[in-house]
Amino acid sequence: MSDLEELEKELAGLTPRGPSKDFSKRVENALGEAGSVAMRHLPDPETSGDSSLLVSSIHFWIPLGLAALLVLSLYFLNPFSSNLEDSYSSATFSLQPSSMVDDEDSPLHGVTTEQLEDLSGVPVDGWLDPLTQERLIRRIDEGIVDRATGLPARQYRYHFIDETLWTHPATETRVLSTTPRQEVYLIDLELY
Amino acid sequence: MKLTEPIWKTWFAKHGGKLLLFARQQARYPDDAEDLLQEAFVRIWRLYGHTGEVSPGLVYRAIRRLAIDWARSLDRRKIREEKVSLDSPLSSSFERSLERDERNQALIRAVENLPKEQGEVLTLKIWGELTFDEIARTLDLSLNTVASRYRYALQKLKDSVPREIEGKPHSKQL
Repeated sequence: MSDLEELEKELAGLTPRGPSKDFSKRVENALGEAGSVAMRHLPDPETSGDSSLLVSSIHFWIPLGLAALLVLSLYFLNPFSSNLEDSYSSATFSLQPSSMVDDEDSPLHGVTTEQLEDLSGVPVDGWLDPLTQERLIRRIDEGIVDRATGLPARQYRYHFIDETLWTHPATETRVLSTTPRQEVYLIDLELY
Repeated sequence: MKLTEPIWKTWFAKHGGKLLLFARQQARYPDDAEDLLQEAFVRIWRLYGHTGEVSPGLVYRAIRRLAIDWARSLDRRKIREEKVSLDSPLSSSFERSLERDERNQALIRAVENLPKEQGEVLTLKIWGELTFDEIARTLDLSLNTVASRYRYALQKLKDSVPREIEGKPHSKQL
């Protein structure tokens, strides 16, 4: 160990004096209600540490055991599982498109305007430009967070619904699409 | 019935002494140190206290910024003038012990005599237990400046407190 490392160790061994009781009391008064927002539970002196550990470990294992039992019983007692699987794969999933199509002109995701025309009988031409609208659902104050720089900022989360309305006047068809969206804003705060 | 205790008390008991040491270095007048720490801590705890987790680095930074503001403030100067000024050297910031040895006293005196910019880096590193990166952000300095000030500080302490001044083996607390 070098001299400087030894010196560092020696300095670290000097203990700064803690705040006096009077000073702590002053701080408590100055904090007011803010001081009692976050509390911690102290260990109950009447219960011993060992017994509480045992009880908490039993509480931990009982739900796990029940869950495992339920999974095993479902697996062994359901004689229709293989048939169900077959019927799902043939009846439901075969109706899904083999690959998702992204056609910006189509009001339906995964369906091209041509497919829509075939399925609905609505002609491809004649759709008006879609109308879009942003609706604010709610704003949530998520409290103070640390930026990567270490400076505090207040975080707000906005919930929006984006609505898009396609209209086909010739056939009096309207398709309304709604998409949820979230945005997070950070408002920088001064440290004091 | 479950017993509860405000988290800030445990937090303050753990970090208060180190923060006060730093506040003493930052305050232009020794009497301001406790006020400085109280103001900085209360402001930061009101912002972050609900989480129960507050980084000491934030309080160190708030102390520094407040100290700069207070030094400029006319109101503050007026309050100071009304107070009875007491001499409060750095040694009063450390635990006292009858077993305090000569070397520890010499070390504290040497820390006290360091240039302010080296002393504050040393305090944040040794007693604040901050990383160089955190110190750089607290003091608005570059990482290189912080590291070199720390090295200079240690070197100066080493030179000014020679090994010949030996202490008793188990008398580290002051």
